[in-house]
Amino acid sequence: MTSGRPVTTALGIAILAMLAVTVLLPAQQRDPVTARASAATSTLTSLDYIEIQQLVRKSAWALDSGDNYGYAYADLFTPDGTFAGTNQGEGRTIQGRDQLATLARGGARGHTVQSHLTMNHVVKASADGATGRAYVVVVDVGVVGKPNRVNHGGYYDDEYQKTLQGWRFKRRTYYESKVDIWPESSPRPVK
Amino acid sequence: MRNAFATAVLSVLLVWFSGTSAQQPSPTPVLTALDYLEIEQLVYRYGYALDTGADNGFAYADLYADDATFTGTNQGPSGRTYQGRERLAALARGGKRGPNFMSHWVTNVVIEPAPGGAIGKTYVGIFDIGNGGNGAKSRVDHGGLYNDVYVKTPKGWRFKSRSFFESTSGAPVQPPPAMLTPPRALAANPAQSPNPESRTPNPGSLTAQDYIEIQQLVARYPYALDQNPDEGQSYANLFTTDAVFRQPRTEGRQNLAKMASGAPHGAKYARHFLANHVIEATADGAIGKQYLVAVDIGESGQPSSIFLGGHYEDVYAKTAEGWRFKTRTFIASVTGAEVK
Repeated sequence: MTSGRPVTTALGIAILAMLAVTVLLPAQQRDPVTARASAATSTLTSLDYIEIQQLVRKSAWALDSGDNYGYAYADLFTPDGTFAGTNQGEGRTIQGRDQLATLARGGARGHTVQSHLTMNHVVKASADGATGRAYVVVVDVGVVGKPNRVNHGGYYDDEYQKTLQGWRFKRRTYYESKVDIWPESSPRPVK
Repeated sequence: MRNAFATAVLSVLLVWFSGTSAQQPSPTPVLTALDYLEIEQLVYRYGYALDTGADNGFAYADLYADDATFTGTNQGPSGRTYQGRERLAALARGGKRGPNFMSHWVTNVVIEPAPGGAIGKTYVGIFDIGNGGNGAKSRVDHGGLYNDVYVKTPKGWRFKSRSFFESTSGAPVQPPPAMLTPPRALAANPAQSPNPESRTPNPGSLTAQDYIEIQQLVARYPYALDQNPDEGQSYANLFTTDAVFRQPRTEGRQNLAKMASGAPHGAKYARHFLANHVIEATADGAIGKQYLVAVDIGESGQPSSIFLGGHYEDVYAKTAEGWRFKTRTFIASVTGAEVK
């Protein structure tokens, strides 16, 4: 070991540099922006966000087109997935592939029907997948002999689950838009 | 041994130096796919926070950075600016609100990196839906454009400033006759219209960055058409040099620029609202489709109306300039019966 001194020096520099790094790295990890992003999206990657966005957009296409006898819509749900329309009478929950397909077969359907416009789609990671909300406005456009108009609208409250086929709706609930006052007792936080 | 130690020192120092340089804020940051998505989420949360007035309006105020401002350029002759958490919260407490009220529909979100963070612009359609549940007809109330500056704070992306501009049309132009006759008969053979659902899916060949860039391409389309600041140049540049637009069939950037300039436009004009943009990878690029609702926002107190609805079917190509439209086909909505 003729080079004991340089090795010691090298070792010393390395240790100092490592110390610098150990001080620096936690500083970067402490960066709340990075920390927050990784905590909130620990299970959602960019592609997860994008695929969930695509799922919600596809549901509008599938519903309006009634593609594949409504099964294009049904197949966006998990096998036990549900749709609930809280505006339908007392509120109606639809479950099962055939029942969901039937829903997407009713009314005016086809590739030139553009009725459900979804926007403002927010997505959050949850313990077993993701949850989200999207505004939906239902318009009557291109209806022969009728002026174009806004029919109704509201929002979807969704639960998404990642399956072998990709992200699917586990639960979707539609709420009609309405002007209201907040219940004094139960302020509802916004997702 | 000595070499090994020297290498260790060098590599450790390299890490240290790269760490130091990452600490310094770069003037114009590079936005990752996740940054785009998080800014988009901020823009979408805005609607809920404002329409519901949740948490006494503070859900809305907390979407802004500490010193941030909202400016309603339509409020009074010279506009009005709100600054500070209390003032912004008060803004979200006024007017029509409720846990289920949905009014601000935001779309066409264009985001760009900028010194200190990012800037963006969006369309907003302000709807009146379920007004008191008294059977009042749902309608488009008004709408326009937001111009935004975003900043990444310890809590995530926030608005540094947001300004609303009411949609105003520009000087009248005479649209080409073909643009006034959008309705087209139902396709006799549905197989003729490209339907992404029916193609063999080819997932995984588009990265998150590709999706974002294609979404940004489509989001830029309405601005180039409705605002058209440069005689159709920015519109034409969204297409490949050999692109085809239908209808009317238009080929080449020069013709596309000419066609765009024949459409109504103005510096603050918002008319083409896009939604439900789906994208799918193909062997040589990507295809996609999205809904269009063209809204004539009422000016000077006039009521708004929906000019037409329909959808675009697109083929995208990745060029040296980025993703571009290779073909874009507009198909107007036609339905025989009223949609329930």
